[in-house]
Amino acid sequence: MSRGATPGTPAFRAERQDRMSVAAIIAAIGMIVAAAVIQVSILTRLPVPGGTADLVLLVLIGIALARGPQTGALAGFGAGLVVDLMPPADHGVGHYAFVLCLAGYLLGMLGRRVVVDTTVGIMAVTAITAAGVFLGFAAIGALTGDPRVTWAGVVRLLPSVVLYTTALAPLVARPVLAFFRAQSHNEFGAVITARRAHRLKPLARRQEWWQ
Amino acid sequence: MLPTEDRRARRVLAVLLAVSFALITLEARSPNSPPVAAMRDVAASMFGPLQQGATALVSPVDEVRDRIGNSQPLSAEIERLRAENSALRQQLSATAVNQAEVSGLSRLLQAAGTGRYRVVPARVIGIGPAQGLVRTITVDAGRGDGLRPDLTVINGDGLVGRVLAAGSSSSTVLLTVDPSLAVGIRMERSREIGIATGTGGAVLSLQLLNPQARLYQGDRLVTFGSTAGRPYVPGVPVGEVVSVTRAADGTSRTVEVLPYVRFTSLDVVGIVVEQPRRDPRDAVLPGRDGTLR
Repeated sequence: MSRGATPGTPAFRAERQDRMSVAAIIAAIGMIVAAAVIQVSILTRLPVPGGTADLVLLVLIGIALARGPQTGALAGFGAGLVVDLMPPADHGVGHYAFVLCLAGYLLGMLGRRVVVDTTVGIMAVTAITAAGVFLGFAAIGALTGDPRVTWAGVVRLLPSVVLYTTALAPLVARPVLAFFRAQSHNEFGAVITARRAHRLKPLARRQEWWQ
Repeated sequence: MLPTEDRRARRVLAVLLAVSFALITLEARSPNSPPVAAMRDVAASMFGPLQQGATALVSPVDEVRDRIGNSQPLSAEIERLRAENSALRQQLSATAVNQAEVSGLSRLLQAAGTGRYRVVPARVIGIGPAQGLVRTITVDAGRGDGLRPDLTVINGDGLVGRVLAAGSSSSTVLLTVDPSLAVGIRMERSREIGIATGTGGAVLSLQLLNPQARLYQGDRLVTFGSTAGRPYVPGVPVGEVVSVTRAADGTSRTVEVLPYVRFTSLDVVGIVVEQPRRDPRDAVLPGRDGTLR
């Protein structure tokens, strides 16, 4: 947006953060599709009790935290559609798209306000998001009258899904976050490294207080 | 604080949520309507090969087969020997997997032969995550192999499920344990008929048409068979009764059936494309000592 915020302000920086280069978009799509395929073809084969780690959500957490609410919402919607349509899915189309779109937006807002870059921080965000996404998905299924969504089933699967997803967060969400953060631009249009981006963002936050 | 930016993000969110909501409503009103079915079909043909690829990656068997098939004998003797060497190494490590697959296939063929079902063998290339609360798998056979919706899917142990949607080269199979699935069954000896329903967990719940019929732990059941064999051909072993619990008032009972098929380790399955001319009755059930009769 050329007629948007004045260069140098946090608003301008946020705008740059939320825009994606073509390469970054292609990388995001590739990561989401790869995560969805790995999930149904490899992860679900592992002989572990309960549910499966939500790999697609982990990729989304990385993208949204690094890139802000607009990209988060778009990426979440796209990722949700991929999960909804990827065989052997049989739940209604749009269920995951709705939940992940909302999750991507909220994660993006969070990423704008707080710099999440410690392992513990990412795992905490992941645990809360994974539980919210699972419950949101089950709620939509229940609202649309899917006979397969039962309270007993939700209670049985929730702990394992949250546990596995959170355990994989440092291995998946963290590198994805670092990758997309490293690609974001500062207000002079130069590529800044992940470490410098960290240093810049708290500064922007402090400015917002009195603005 | 960030007016332009935030307003734009919120607008994007609103539009996307509205689109998702429209899709959800469309699906809730008429499941698998033509546009959605078309989307699923496109997705199946796009993602099917990717799933096949991913499955091949984790299964060394395919790799061995491909390596042997692709090696160029005249390009360089050393290259060939190296390839052969690594292929042999892999073969060695793959023997266990290989043997499991061969035995799965041979048991499937044995069961199909006994029941006189005509089956198309297929490999499982994708398993639905359980948090979808839906129990489905993808197999690497499709319309090109003669698959249609509502065909019975079996393996060497018994009933796996039925075909839900057939894509061009891959298909979705609904497993017997899915709560939306109900199978007409017949008890092995008493000949009582009933319905086995998935619970989403490891067991099925059984309801006999005659509530007074006697039931014991270890009683075995086979499919009753549907009209024209779709979705279920007759005589496929389903499982055996593991527990019978009476309600306190004695008027109703809960019967749990453990399926013969282990749904967590599915590999080779067979899709019954032609039903037997005569009901095989209990012929396909394994002998009590575990061998086929």
